[in-house]
Amino acid sequence: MPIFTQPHQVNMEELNNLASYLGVSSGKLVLDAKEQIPVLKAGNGLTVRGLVSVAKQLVRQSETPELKGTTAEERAAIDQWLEYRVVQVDRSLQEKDVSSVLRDTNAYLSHHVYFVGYQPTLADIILYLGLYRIFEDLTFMEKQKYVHVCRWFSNMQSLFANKMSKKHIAFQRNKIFSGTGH
Amino acid sequence: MKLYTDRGNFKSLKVIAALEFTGLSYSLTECGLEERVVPYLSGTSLPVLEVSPQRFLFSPNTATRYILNKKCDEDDPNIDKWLEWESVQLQPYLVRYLVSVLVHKKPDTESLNRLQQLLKFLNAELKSKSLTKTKDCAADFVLWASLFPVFKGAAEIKGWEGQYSNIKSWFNTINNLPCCQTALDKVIHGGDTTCLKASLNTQPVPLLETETRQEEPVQKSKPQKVKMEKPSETPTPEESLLTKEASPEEIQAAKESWLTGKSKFPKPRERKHPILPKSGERNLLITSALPYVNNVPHLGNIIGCVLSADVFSRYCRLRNFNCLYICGTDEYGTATETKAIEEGVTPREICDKYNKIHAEIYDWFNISFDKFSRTSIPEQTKIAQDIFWKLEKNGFISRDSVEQLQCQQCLRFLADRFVEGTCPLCGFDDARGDQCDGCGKLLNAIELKDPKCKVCKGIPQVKSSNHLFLDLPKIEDKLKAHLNAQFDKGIWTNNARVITNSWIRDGLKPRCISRDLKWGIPVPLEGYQDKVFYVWFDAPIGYISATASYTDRWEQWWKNPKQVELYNFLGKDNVPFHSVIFPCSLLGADDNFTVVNHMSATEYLNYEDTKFSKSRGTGVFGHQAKDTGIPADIFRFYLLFVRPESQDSSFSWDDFQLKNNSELLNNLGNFINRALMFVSNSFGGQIQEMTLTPADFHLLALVNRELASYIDNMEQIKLRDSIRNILSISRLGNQYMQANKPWVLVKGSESDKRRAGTVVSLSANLATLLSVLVQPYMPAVSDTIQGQLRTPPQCNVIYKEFVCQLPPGHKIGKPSPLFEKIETPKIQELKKKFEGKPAPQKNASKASAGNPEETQKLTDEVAAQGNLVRELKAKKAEKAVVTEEVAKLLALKKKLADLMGEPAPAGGKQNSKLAKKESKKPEVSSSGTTANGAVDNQEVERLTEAVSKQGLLVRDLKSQKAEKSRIDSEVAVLLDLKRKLAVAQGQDPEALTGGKGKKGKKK
Repeated sequence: MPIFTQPHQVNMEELNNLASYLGVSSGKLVLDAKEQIPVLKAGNGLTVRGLVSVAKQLVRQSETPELKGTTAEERAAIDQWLEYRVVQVDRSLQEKDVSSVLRDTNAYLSHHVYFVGYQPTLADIILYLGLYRIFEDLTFMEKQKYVHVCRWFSNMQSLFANKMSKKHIAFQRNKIFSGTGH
Repeated sequence: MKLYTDRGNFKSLKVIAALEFTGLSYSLTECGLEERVVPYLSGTSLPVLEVSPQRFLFSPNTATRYILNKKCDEDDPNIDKWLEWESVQLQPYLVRYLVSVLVHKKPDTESLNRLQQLLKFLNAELKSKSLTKTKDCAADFVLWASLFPVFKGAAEIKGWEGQYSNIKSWFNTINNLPCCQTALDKVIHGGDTTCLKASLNTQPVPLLETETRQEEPVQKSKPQKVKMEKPSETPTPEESLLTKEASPEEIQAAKESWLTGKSKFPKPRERKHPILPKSGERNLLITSALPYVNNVPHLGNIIGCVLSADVFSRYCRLRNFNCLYICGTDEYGTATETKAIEEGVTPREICDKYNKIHAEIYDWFNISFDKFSRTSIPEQTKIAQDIFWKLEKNGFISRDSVEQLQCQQCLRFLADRFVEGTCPLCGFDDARGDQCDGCGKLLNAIELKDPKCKVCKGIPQVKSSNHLFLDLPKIEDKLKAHLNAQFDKGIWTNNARVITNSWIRDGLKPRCISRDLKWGIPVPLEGYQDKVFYVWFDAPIGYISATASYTDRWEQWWKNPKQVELYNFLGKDNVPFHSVIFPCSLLGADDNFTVVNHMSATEYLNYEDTKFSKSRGTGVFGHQAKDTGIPADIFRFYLLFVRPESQDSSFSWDDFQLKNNSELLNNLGNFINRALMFVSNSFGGQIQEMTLTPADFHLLALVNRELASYIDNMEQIKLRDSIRNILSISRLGNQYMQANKPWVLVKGSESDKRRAGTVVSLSANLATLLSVLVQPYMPAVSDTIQGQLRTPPQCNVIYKEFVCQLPPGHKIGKPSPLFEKIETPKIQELKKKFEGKPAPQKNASKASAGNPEETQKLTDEVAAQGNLVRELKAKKAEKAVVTEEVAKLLALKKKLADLMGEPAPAGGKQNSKLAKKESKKPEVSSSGTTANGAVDNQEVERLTEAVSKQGLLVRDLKSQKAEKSRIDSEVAVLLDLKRKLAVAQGQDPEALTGGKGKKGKKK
C-alpha cells in the first residue's frame, strides 16, 4: 500500500480550509498533541473535540447552518455519513477496506445525487475531503468501475476544490476500458 | 420505525433503550447474523433503523440520537462530541476487548490498557456528574450501552467501580432507568453477556487509526471476510515483513519450539486401508459433489468440488486426522439416456466411456480420492431402495398422479426432453418439451402443440401417471433441528446458509422422486415397478454406496453421527440437494445416518470475461489442461489462488502468467532454490551448526504466526487464505536472506562464515516447512522440494509450531529450479487456443456461403443413411453392423456440419432442423440484426433503455419485498429484453442467460 499522509495532519488543514470557506474564525483551533485530535475552543466554556464535532460547530457558527441539516431526518442522515467518514473512510488504509468504501459509496450514489437531500451538505464536503486521498490514487480503470461515486466526486470538486485548496483530480468522460463488466 | 438486529448485538441496546424511553411505536425484526439490510452496504452492519421505507440509519449512534430528537429536539455540540468519542475512540478497543474475552477467551491486554485510559478520561470529564446539560440524552444511552458489557457479566473489568467513582454513579443512574432494563431484557437475556458472542464474532470489528490488520496476532484476529476477490492484487515487494513486531511471549514460544519442539512433534500416521472411524479421534468423512457423467469437467467444475475437497483432505491427512475422501460419477437419469439414444449405444456404455474420461482427468490433476466410485453399481441400488423402504415405512412417501405425455408406440411416458412440438408461446415449430429454442422460455411438455415423440416420431397422448413424492413438510422439523445445530457449530459458507435458509423459508413442498425412465434405480414398490428413482434422490446416496464399495464396514462411517463429521464440498447450484433434500431422506429414514455437518459451497468460476462453454469451445476443459504443457500443480495453484470462495471469480491467462511468474517463480521458488544453492555450493550440501540470534527468533515468531493462521484458515476451509500464508512465509524467508546477505558473510571472517551457515541452514529448515505446507496445494512440487532437501519422511505433519527438522550434519540433495517462467507468447497462444468460437449464430451466414448443391447432396445422403440405421435398429440387426452404419452416418453428418460451419452434431434428423433454422433467420433480423449481421444502433439503444428501466423496476420490487410471483414475472421480462439486446448487438444471447437457447443444436 502506498504510504498516505497521516490523517490528522489533513484534518487540521481541512478544518482551517472549511472555516475560511464558511467565513468563520478558526483561531481557537488546536491539535491535541497527545491524542492527535483537533480541538476547538468555541467560547462560553465550550470545548469541542474531534473532526466531526468541530466541523459541525464551525457550521453552527457560520451563516449557513443549514449545511448540517434542517429537519431531524436530514440531520440524522448527515450525521451518519459524517461518522462514516471518521470511522470508515479515514481508517481504510488497506486495499480491501478502501475497496469496500468505494463500493458502498458507489452503490449509494447510484441512486442519489448528493449524500443527503437535493443539495450539497456538510456530509458532501467532509466526505469529499476524506475521500480525496483515495481518489488521488485511483487508476482510470478503477474510476470507470466506480462510476457513480466518481460522478459525485467530480461534481463536488467543481464546487469545493478551489475553495478548499485541493488540486483537481482528472476523470475520464468516456468509458475507455471495455470488458470490465461495468 | 423498524429496527433490524441480529440476536445478542450489544449495539442494539442503545437504540432499543431510546425507543422505549420515547415510547414511540416500533417493530423489532430479528435477522441472521450476516444478513444485509441496507442495500448499498456490502458488508454486514447491524443494527439498522429503518426510519421510513427504504431510508436507513446504519449508525446506531445516529439512530439513537434521531429517536430521542423525535421527542425533544436538540442540537448540542456536547452530544456531537461524546458520540464521536464513542465511535472513534472507545468502540475500536471496546469491541476488540469484548471479542478477545467472549470469543477467544483470552483477554487482550493491549485493548484493556487502552480501555482503562479511555475510562480514566471519561471519569475525569464526569466530575460534574453528567455528560451534558441535557438529562437522559443520546450521549447517556450510547455510552451506557457500550460500557454495559465491560461493566457487568462475563467480560466485566474487575474493580472498575472502585477506580472510576464518577462513572459508577452516572452509570448506575442510567442503568436503573426502566427503558434500559427493558432493552437489556430484549438483548441480553438474564444479564448473561456471553450471549453476545455470536454477534461479536460476525459483525465487523471497527477499524483502528493506523492498524494494518495482518499485524494482529492470530489469536486476536477474527475471521475476516474477503470482501473483494480481485484476481490480480500483487503484493508490494518493498513492504518489509521482517519489521513486524512480535511480542516477547511469541518470541519465547518460538524459541522453545525451535530448540525442543522436535520431541513433541507428532509422527506421521500411517494410512492403512480400509480407513474406519476410531473412537476418541476426529473422524472426517469428506465428499466432493459427484460430477455428472456425460460431461467433460472444465476448470470451474474442478475447482468447485474435487480439487477443493482434495486440498482439504490432504491437509487433514497431514494433520493426522482420521479422514476418508470419496467421490464418483453420477450416472443415472434422462441426460445419459438421451445421449445414449443419440449415440446409438446403451446407457451403460456411455457411462463406462465417460467414467474413464473423468477418472483420467482427476488422475492428471493429482486428486487423491480414497475411493472414486460410480452410482451405477449394485450397492447403490441396494442402499437407495433400503432408504426408500424406510421412508415408506415411516410414512414419508406420498403418492400423487401427474399429467404426462405417453408415447403409444414406444409404450412409455416421455421425459420432457423426449418430446418435441410447436411452442405454445411463440409458435416455433421445433420446441423441446422442457424449453423452446425459439423464444427460450421454459415449457411444460403437455403445453406443446402437436407434440411428437423424439424417438419414434409418434404422437404421444396426455395420460396421468402415478408418482411417488418425498413428503418434505413432514420431515421439516427434524431437518430444522439438525440444521440449527450444525449452523451453530459447523463450518458453512455463507452461500450455503443463505440458499438453505431461503429454501426453508419459502416452505418445503413434497418432491417427486420417481421418473418414467429405464436408466435408473428401479422403484421397488408394487405398482411403480416400471419407474426409476429421480436422479437427485439417488445421486447423493452415491456417497454412501461409494463408501460401501470401498469397505463392507461402511456403516461405521455412515451410521455413526456421534463420531463422524461429514464435510460436503460442492458448487452453490447443488446446495439445496445436499442441505435439504438428502438430509431429509436420511433423517426421514431414521436409521441413525450420518448427516451433513459442514458445507463448503463455491461460487462460479468464469473464463476470462465470459463463461466456460463446451459447445463454443471456450475455456479449458479437464482433458485439455494436460496438452498445454503446463504442469498440473501450476493449474492447481492458480485455481486455488482464485477459488471463488465468496464471490464469482475468473480464470484469466494473464493473471495465471502473473501469479506463476511473481508468486511461484520469484517468491516461493526463488527462496527455496536460493537457500538450497547456498547450502550446496558454499557448505558442501551440509546443514551447519545453527546459533540463533534474537533477530532469528523474531523471524521464527513471525513464521509461527503465519503457520497458526494457515491452520486456522484451513480449519475454516478458507483455502485461498492459507495459500497467502505460505507465500508470506517464503516472502519472510526471502527478506531474511536479503537482510543477512550470506553471500557477503561467506567471504568474511570465521565468525561471519559461521553466521552464514546459520542463515542458510535456517533457511533450508524453512524450506522444509514450506514443502509440507505446500503439499495440499502442489503435491508434486512438494515431493520435488523434499527430494532436493532429502527431508526425513517424519517431517510430513503439519504441527502448530516451526521446529528444526534438518539437524546440523544433514546432507541435502542436488538443488534445481522448481518452477518455469511462463512467457507472454505462450500465454497469447493459449488464450487464442481456448477462446472458442465467438458466437454460434454467425454460422448461419457461413452456410449461405457454402455450396448449396453440395449441401443438398449431403443432406440427402444423411437422410438416406439415417433411414438405413433406423431400419437396422428396428430389425434388431447385429450390433456390429448397426455400429458401423452409425459411424458412417456420423461421418456424413460431420461433413455436412463442416460445410455449414456448424459444430459437429451428434443426433438425428439434421435435415429438417437445418431447414428450419434457415426459415427462422428473418425472425432474428427483425429484432435488430440485419441479414448480413450488421448492428442496428437505434434498436440497440431502444433495447438498452428498456433493459435498464426493467432492471430498476425489478430492483425496486425486490427491495419492497414484493410478491415472489410478481418479481419472477418481471425478471422473465427482463431476461427476455436482455436476450433481444444481445441478439441486436450481434452477441450470443446464451452467454447472458447461462446456456439456454442453443442447446438443441448440439445434439
